[in-house]
Amino acid sequence: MIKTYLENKIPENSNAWVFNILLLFQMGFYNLMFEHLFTKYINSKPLIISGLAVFSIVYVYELFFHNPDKIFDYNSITDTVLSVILVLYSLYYYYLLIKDERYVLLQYSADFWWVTGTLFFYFGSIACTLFYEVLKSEPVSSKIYISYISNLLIVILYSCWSYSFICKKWLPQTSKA
Amino acid sequence: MLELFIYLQKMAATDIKSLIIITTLIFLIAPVFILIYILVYNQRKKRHIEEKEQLRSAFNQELLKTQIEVQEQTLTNISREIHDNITQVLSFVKLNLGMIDEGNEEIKAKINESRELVAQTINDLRYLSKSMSFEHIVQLGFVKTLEMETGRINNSGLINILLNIEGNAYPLGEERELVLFRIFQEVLNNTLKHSGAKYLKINLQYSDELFNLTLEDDGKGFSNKDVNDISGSGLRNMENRAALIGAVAIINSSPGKGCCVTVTLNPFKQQLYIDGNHPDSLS
Repeated sequence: MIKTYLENKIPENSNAWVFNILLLFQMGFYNLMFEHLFTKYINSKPLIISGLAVFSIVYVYELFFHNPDKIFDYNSITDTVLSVILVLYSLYYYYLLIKDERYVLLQYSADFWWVTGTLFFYFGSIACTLFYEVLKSEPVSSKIYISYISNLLIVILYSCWSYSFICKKWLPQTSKA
Repeated sequence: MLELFIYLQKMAATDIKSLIIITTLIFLIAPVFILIYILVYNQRKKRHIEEKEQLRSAFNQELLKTQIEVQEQTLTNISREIHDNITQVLSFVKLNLGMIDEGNEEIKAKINESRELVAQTINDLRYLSKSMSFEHIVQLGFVKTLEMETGRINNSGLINILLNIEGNAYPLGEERELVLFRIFQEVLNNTLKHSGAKYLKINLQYSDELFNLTLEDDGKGFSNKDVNDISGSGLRNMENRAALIGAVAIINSSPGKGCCVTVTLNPFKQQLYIDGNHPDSLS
């Protein structure tokens, strides 16, 4: 989604509408995941519903009242709000993890590494999404560093997630052994 | 003018580029510190939990040792009371009965019968007193005490006890032998009260690195669900006592198949387990 402004197309032909719809799926997916993670410690429904409500309000406002070209303009403010919400969720998960009396071996905890990947990615991408409006008007050649940042964050995200999936698959087998 | 505008635009772009790169770096370094903090905190939590567990185990072990000491002291006191008071009084009663010389043959026969009953009671009380007194058990040793006890029970006709000793018997230590004897008494008590068994087999296996005590009866057996609180706590007490001396007590029973209690001990392992449970213990 960071790469939308690398395309530098005129609004009517822009592909921003794909990423705008993708934002909804992103928010749904991350909410489901964090709801599953938080349920082990607290009743997570109020928190998740609050996050969804804030996201929805900002999304609708930006789509219908802020964007001059409606769905053909990327909802960068919503993206920033999504990033902030997910960072806060991640930090809250860490807080619940250390507050809990049970000891968890973090090196092999699938939940921990999934949240770590999410935190690094969204915390790191906040700077890029925050300056979207300014970067949109610049030529592609001058903002190639954005793609380097984007690639670095994606590598971090998927490395952590891959390790998380390995832990998830690995642990039940070692416990059976 | 146009050149100035382009120059200003380039400056702005460079500034924004620097700003974005620095901000991204800061926003990547911050989670690293958070991660390090969480890993360190987790390690401290693990150490704290381990220490708490050690303290709880040490406490449980001390509690168990104190309970056993109190029990032994109580039994010793009762043993002394029986020996010093009751048997003395009964001996006096027996003497008095012996001094009665009047009456017909029938009365004399009844008096003699009463004397024999009192004599038998005095003997039984002496055995009881000795079996309760840990000084006596320690003096004679485990094997000898066991032989005396089995002889007494066999003479009473309550149950047939078959004692088998394999290998050369060697001392296991006062505390261990006392605990093993108490386990035997608990098993015998349960067998006589609940099992309806005709035979109780006692097997002592002495080898270089292991001592094994097996107590097996041919009674009606029990399942874990049938065990009530009282008899269940007796079984748990056996396991706890065994664990205290570094032994493992395993109780196997099922309805209709009797009960088998096995106590295994490595006599050269001095360590008492801090949590009161041997790693292989059922509980």
